[in-house]
Amino acid sequence: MPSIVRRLVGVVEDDESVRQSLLRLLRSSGRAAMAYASAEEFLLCLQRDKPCCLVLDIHLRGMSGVDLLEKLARENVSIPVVFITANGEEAPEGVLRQSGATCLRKPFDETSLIQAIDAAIGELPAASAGPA
Amino acid sequence: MSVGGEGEAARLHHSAFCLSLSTARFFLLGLPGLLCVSVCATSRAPKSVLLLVAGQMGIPEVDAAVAGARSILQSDTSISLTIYTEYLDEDRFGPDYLKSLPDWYREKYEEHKPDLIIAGGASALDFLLRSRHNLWPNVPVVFSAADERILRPALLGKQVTGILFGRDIKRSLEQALRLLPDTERVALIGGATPEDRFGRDIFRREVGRLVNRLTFLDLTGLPMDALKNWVTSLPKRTIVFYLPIYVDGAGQVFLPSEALSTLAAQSKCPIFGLDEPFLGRGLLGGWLASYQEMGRQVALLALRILRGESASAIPIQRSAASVLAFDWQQLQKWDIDESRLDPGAMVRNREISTWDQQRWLILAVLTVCVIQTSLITGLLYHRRQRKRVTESLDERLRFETLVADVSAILSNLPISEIDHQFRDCLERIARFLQADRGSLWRRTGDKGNWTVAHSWWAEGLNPPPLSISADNFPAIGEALKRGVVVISKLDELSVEANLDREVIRRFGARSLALAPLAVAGKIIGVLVFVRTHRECAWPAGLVQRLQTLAEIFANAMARCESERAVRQSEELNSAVLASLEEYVTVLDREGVIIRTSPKPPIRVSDNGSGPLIQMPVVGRNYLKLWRLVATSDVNSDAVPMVEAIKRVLQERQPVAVMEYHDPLVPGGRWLEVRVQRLDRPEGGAVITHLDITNRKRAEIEARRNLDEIAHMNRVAAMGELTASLAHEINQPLAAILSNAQAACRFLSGKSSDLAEVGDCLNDIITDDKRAGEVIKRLRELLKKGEFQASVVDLNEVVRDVIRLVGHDALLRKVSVVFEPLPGLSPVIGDRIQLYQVALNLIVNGLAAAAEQAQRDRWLLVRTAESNSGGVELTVEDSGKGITKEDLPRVFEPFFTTKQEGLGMGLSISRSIVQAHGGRLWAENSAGGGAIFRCALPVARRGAMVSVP
Repeated sequence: MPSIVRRLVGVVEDDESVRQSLLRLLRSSGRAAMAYASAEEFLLCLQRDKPCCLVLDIHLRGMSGVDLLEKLARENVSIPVVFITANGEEAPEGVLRQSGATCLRKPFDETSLIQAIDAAIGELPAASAGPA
Repeated sequence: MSVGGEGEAARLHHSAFCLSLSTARFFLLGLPGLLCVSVCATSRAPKSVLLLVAGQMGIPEVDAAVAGARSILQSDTSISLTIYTEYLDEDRFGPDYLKSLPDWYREKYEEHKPDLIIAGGASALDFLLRSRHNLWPNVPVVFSAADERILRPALLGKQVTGILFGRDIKRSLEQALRLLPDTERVALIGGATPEDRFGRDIFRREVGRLVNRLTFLDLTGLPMDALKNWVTSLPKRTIVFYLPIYVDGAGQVFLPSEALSTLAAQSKCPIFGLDEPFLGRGLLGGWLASYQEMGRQVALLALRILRGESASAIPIQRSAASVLAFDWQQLQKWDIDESRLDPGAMVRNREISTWDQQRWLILAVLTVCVIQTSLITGLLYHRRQRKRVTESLDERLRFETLVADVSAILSNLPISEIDHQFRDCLERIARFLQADRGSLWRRTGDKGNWTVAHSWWAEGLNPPPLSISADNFPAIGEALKRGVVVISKLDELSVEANLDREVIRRFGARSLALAPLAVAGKIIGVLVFVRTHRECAWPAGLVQRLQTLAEIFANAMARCESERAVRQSEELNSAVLASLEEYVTVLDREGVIIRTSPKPPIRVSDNGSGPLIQMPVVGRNYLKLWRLVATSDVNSDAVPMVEAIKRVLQERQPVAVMEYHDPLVPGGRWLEVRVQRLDRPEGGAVITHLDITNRKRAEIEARRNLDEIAHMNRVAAMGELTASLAHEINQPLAAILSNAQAACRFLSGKSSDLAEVGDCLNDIITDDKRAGEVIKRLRELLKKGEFQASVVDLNEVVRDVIRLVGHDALLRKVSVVFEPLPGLSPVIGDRIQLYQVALNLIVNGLAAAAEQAQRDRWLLVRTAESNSGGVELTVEDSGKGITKEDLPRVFEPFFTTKQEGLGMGLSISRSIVQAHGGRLWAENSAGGGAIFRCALPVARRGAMVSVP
């Protein structure tokens, strides 16, 4: 069945205010967004929501952002990811290189975020039907 | 006698007649009587009697006769008589005088004619008869004479009668001869008048009639001198008879009694007499004529005539008025025994001894004397008794005074004067008992040694021995158990008491008195009084007295002992108090000081700036002193001080410890005041003041250091948590930026969703505040600040810390679990410092857990209430624990097992916890990790932790 794949951006962020602010930002830029408080929550909703991009906080309670990415990779779900972090430290280098994702340091400008999201989505082929 | 009806009247007539007849008879018969009566009545007119007496007044025989006559004359009261007396005194005055007398008498008695004349003596009769013709011719005369020759009827005539008194010469002679049987001669002494010669003749005749063998010596008519010679030279066996000498041979006139006296004094022979008046003048005695009797008889005769008898009708009588009488003195002189006298003889002039004369007087005097003597004796005896009683009372009084004095002295004895006063009392008692030594022995030790505690001895004597053993006095020791022992002589001691005797003798005592002093049945001493000079018995009642004194001494000793004990304990207390570093005050229930250390280290200030405004001395109210300070508003610490003291005194609290800071003292001053309840029924409290300035300064210094180091530690910790911090700040910053940019987009977009914009703005505000909080906390943590006490909830603090380190824990993949106890009691402390401790512990725990394998990384933080009433914070990690060697050193400064870090965290944490009054310690858990426990005291309501 061909479904209109909306360009849903998922936000996985455990800090509530940041989460909300990101949602608003994405919406204000005209994108549909869905926020998840933890990696586990996202996994549960993955099949249902199928976001086209993930804004992923590296340091999460429970499963961390990097771990989530690895899990997705193992399950052959490839969703483009934009890492965000509050930490001064950067994400482990290896992860960045592997996934090819960018990492934004909070506080980050909207422009940086939107550009990163677009870049991540643009790289994906348009019709990624996958196994309908 | 008429008969008939007129009988009545006739009878009356008859009666009247008889009556008149009898009346006539009465009158007739009674007429002479009446006449007599009338005569008597008329003769009631006084009759006068003249006594004409020969001789003179003063001559005893004359006076006796006159007296006899008068007595009889006056005895008849039916005749009222006037009596005149005339003395012829013919011997001294010559015949011419006699011749003129009648005229003179006549003239004299012209108006007083005598009704009767009594002539006393022959010469008086003679005179009257001669002059009768013209002198009182018809007056009856009654004479008394001794001379028979006057019996011449012619001369006598009418109206003359009288009594001739004769001397009883015969009987006198016979009596004399009976008394002196070997008489050979009888001498007769008499006067020279013719009457005397007549009397001599009569006498001679009588003598002649008697025994012929008698020689008659006639000494009458001799002159006195010759008579004197005769009487002095009369030979033996001669008796003398004395006739009254009126005129001697030389014509000298004498009083016969005087003549007799003169002669009798010189006479060598007894003189008998014939006249009673001379008895007592030298007569031995005999049948003596009583002139008084003569006078009486003559007077009786006169009375008869005065009553109416005719003088002529009464014949002249003869009478011998003589008595047999002897002179007692003469009887003695001539050695004649009274029993030889004829019965009926009177003995006159008995030498009435003074006893006879004054018998009653003497008896009375004697009686008085006897009474007086017995009175005096009685009084003397009584006085002696009284004196003895007084003396004994006196002595008793002296003793009682002594006892009272001794008792008074010893009962109020201050300890400093014991020696002096005991010795004084011993001296007084010894002197009273007349002893030479007095001592008070006290038992020392248990072995029965006695030492002299006090003693007095008289000057010049040896003092008593200083100590003796009871073994030396077995007998006396035994006796003392029963009571007072009095030994007057050493020999009194029984035979078994040889040892005693020897020892006593050695000490020079001769008499002993010992009194045991017993208190509560135990003998604590002995009073000993000793005489060394002589053995003599002790006074009676000594035992009792010694017992009394012993009691007084025992009491005094016991009291002194207890006072000494009290004083020693007092001194001990004071010494202990003085030795203490703290200044100790002991209060009673009301807060009044009852004991205090000698010198207060507390500075007492004058301007009210010191902790105590006034000097705390015994008697002042300590509580009030603090109240004064509290009200003076100098220091707020004073108020809780007052409250704490009150609480302890009121037994609401057993102990209160406070620190008191006196800021006005330069440099500051701290006292630790500890108020502790006194555990005794009367209550009270002990307050110790310790000057902890140095300690406090050290504490402050240490705290300051701690604060600095803690600050450094906090800074360091913050440094370690930059990741967390950054995280904490970046989150709100990111949210703010995103919200702001979203809001801009909303505003400039096609659909102006103002609601969204509002949401954005609100969230921005919130996040900004959140960021501000983080900054604030950061600032707080990094602040150097001093300790600030507040009520802290540990749960909140731990939550804060966990939030702070949350990111870090995440980074290291350590799961942090917080199990707070809900409703945990708050603690009092500095929030930041407690935060610091929690932070240190949790960071350490994280670090330790992070070393483990990934799945084994966890940190467990718990809060709980501890058993001891405080709170406990537990941080348990899943690390590898602490080795045995490191365990004791974990809290040391600069001890670290990590490569980086100062190693100060734990030591600082411990210092902070200890400063909060808590404990921080580490142990290994069962799982192999380390457990750090922090115990903190709970904030107690009302507890005062005042720290500068």
